[in-house]
Amino acid sequence: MKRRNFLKLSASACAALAALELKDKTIFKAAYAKTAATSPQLPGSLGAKEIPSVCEMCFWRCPIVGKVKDKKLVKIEGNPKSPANGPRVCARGNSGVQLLYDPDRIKYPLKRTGERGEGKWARISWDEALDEVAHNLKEVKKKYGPHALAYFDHGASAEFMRDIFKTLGSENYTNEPAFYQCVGPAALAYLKTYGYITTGTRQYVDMQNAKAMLLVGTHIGENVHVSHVREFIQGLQNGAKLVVVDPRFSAAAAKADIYLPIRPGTDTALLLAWMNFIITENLYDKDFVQKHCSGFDELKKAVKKYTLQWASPICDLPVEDMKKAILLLAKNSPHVSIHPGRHSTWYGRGDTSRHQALAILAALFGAVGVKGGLYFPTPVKKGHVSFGCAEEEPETPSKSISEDYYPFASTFGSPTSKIIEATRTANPYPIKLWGINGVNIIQTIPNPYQTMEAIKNLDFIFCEEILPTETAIWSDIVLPGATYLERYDSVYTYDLLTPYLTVRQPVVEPMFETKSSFWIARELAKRIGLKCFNYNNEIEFIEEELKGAGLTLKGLNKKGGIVAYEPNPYRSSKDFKVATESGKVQLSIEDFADEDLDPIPRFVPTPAPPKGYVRLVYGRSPVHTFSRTMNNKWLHNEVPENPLWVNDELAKQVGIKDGDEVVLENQDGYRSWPIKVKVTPGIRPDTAYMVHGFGSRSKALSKAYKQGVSDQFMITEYEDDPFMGASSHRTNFIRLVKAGKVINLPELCPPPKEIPRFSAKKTKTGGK
Amino acid sequence: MGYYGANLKNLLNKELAYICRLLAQGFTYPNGENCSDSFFSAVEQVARALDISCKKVSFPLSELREAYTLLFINEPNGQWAPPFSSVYLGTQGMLMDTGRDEAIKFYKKAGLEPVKTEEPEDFLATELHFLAELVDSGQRELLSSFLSAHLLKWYPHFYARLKALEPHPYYLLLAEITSKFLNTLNQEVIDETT
Amino acid sequence: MSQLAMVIDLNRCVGCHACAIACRAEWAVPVPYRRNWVKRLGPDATPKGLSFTFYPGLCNHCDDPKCTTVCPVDPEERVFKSKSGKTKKLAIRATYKDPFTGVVLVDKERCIGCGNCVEACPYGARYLNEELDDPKADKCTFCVERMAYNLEPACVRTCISGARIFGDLSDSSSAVYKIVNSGKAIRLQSKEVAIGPNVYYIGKDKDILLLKEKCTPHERKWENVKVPMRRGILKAAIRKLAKAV
Repeated sequence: MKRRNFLKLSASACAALAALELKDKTIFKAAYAKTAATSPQLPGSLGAKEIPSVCEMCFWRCPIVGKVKDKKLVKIEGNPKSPANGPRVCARGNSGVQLLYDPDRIKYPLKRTGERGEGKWARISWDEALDEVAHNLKEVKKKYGPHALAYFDHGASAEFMRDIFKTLGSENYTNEPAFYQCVGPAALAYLKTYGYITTGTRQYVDMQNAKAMLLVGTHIGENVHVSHVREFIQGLQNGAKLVVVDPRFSAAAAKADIYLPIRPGTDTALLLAWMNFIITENLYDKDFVQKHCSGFDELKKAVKKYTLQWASPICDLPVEDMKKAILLLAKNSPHVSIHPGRHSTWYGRGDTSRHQALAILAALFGAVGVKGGLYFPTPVKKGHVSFGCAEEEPETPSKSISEDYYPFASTFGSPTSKIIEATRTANPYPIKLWGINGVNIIQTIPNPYQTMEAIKNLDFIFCEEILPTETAIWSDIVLPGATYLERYDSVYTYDLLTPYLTVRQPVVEPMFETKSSFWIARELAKRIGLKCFNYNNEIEFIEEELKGAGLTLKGLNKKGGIVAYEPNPYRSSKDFKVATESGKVQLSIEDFADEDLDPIPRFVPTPAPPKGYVRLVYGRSPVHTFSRTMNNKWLHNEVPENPLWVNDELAKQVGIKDGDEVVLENQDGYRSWPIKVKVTPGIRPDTAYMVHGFGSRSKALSKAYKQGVSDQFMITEYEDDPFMGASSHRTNFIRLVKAGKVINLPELCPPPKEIPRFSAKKTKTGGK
Repeated sequence: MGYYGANLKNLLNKELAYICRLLAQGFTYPNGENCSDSFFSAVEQVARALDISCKKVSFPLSELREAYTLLFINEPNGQWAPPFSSVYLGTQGMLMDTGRDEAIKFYKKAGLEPVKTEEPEDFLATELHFLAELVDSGQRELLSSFLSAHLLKWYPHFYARLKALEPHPYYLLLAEITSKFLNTLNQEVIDETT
Repeated sequence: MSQLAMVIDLNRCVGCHACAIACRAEWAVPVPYRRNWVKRLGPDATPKGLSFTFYPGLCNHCDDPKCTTVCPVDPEERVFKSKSGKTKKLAIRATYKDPFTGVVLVDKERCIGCGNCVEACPYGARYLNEELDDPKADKCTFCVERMAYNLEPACVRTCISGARIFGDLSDSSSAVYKIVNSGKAIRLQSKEVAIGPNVYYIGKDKDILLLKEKCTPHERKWENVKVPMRRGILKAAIRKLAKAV
């Protein structure tokens, strides 16, 4: 009976179906050998094919192998042949599988169909997407000039598209949040002191051979870069003494011999007092200073007024503790690692000076080019490749938003704060198009409210993205980028203590219609009519780069995808040379003086919290790379939220308990989503801390959305570093709101008179 | 058995395969072919054959493209229904999980391999195409186990998720047709073999 | 008798969670379950100073495992073979301790997924993925499967700072033997729960104090698994029935 009811297909229905010629639409072919039972596979990742490549879960870029079974990536491990990490990768490196196979990924080129910021999309073809981007680049340039184009980027693969903006003639072709929100001030300070970038993407500090180490606000262990952590731990295992200066008891502080819980914003005062102390007490390396440094007399004179007694109330540290720490470092000199730091955009004013002070301290100890000190990179040779883009530097506009505001900004590009301002105000010239590649600017640049306002002024905004981030949601065209596991990039060389050469190569085919950054940039250039990227594909230029190293891709892969070289990090006194103008380590920087900036660091206090508020600082979780990894299911599961650290004494006074849920309100009245409180003695009472990168506002990120709280959305007040225009991130203050009631926080460590108190700008319209 | 079996076999050989392919096409990104009057008309007829009431089916390509994108590719509020078995059958909440491995095992057993498409092998349309192959070649046992041990283990979850989104009427209709069709086909195969 | 064991050096550990994820990736352990975990402890005050440390945990492959005693599956005889070729015949339930390696394992073929052993473990080292049609108890195996290929456990291999030391406690030349016999290593056990865990910890006094305070088990959980035999079988049967309906 049932059978009769089964599909009453009429003759006309059959005819309609037949007419569609559906039989021809098969997408299957005979291929696999017909097997009744599949052969038993080895358990876990055993028996997988291993393909060498380079990680990009963060930008340290550890060599990895992708373990592939049946065309599927099953696991990632460190490349056992790597002299830096061997078979090890961190939690993020281990979780690349979840990025590659995240169902939330951007899968096809998308075009906005709704309002900007609404995120309504329709899939379009690559041709349509690229034509539209090319058309807008040309149109905006024609209408407003080349500088109306701005590019925000992060990561090696974003460099291909950077060339397009440069070739089009914009001065705003490189605006790495990685510099202006991160390493910029530190990089500049070391570049000017030593003539090479001792810190930037990487830190050239020989912790594994140190007898003592100093970390100022650096929290290795929470900030995880595998080889760096290994060297740090190896140093400690070898018996190195550790001094940590940090308002918060970090994972690194937990391993310290001396921990100095300094008042935020006063590190330079401590460093200046230490310099003065070792000069007055004759604890500095006279021989090194005499032979290899310039500007010592000026330095000596400039720091004379900074005594430990002077620093003590400013830094809120006992003189004895400060003395004990500097003596410990001095005793072990020159084999001391004065860590240069990395993320240094803290307070705007004084950021470059603080890292300059660290650089000088290392020099005074003679801790440069020796075991345990700062060391020299070992360049690894590879062939030079020219893409034939922008043969010349773009012409500077009559008023530049880079060097006309900040004398040392143009070393790195244009400050992001200035780009946003010009986009909002058309001053000094209008910016009308943004291209964004590999960075979620809404969760990266201070005051995202301003960033979103700026976006509304644009004629066009596009991005190359892997995930539907806030930035993608704001874009008119979204280009689906291939992950690091699906593409080639340039040959990658590592010039630290274990130099090597390796190459990123796809471990699996790209998912959906995602494309490599090189392919995208090349196709785009073609459509704009630029004679650029004169290689058909990545392999062609990789072979050329490898040729310069006497290798081929096949040969390299035969060796396990990586070749190691001997390091040359140290220098004898005879061979010691630095690439500064004077050829010496510059304890006083003339270039700075020429621009009416301090040639020698000076203590410039950052304003103290207003009454009722504490300073908001932030840091890293070892399982997350900023907001980039928040949607990774495995990583999210490890650390799903970012509780606010509140000092236990302070919490007691206002009746806040561990695990309480509160809302944060900043000095401008902006409020956060609810956040849990972690009550701990491991933070100063004038400071609150949270991990950066949480609190995604993109609902399309199914794992990350509304998980934890975004520090970025609490950072509405920022100041630019006067040297290079980086934006400050630790100049905001919060109080708590519990069950709708505002809690003013008592001041348990009142600032001394030398430190002014923050007062809100009068022009502010107030928050929401 | 012989009589009914022959009848069913005929059906299996042609019209049923047509329907599988029609649905597979329907769940493919809208293009000229799967967005034509003749295609819509076939969808209507199949709906009727399954006792699913439907109004005249006709939608502009641009409308379906936006609807498809938001339902099956990326949606700004995360309100989408991933058309991949791994999302429902896997334990890791990711693509290319055990759902895809299972699908491939079935393809291998049939001696087939999908030609390279942009989507993972466990894409709904690909699995429906595979179903058509099984129907076409009359591989009853494999058909039966593919339906009960794989496709029908995840399709209901997908369908429930889709329905909850109150999607574009066209995709709701296609999903309803697919649901009813798969269940009926499955029942038919069970009845026939018992 | 051999006993495989692990020593975790908290002086080296930076709490990076690589171990937890490598394990998850290697064995496809579904979120939110774990075979291997890192718990972040502190910063908290201890009598020896402020501590901020970690509890990297996994199955302890106990000397006197309680999980194996609550398994309701009928014992079956099995012949175990040592590396040197010695054999030993034992009647085992669906979870058992290998007499030659000391590793506690689950026989997935025979496990009925009742969850008794999950409830019994005072360390919370086992899980049962109830979402599966036919769930089986799962836990750390010290990666015995990898050992056949001369590979260390996945967590040990990925540990970025070399904080996980793995080996055989019966081998006096092994690193674990030396550390454990130096008396410096501690085990997480109390007078209530003293079942001989074979994961040991070393570290600064303050960190060990915090670890012991926060993570030592006190509840004899296996005693909560009442009438283990009947209840377990019933639970498994009910689940099967529910699935069928």
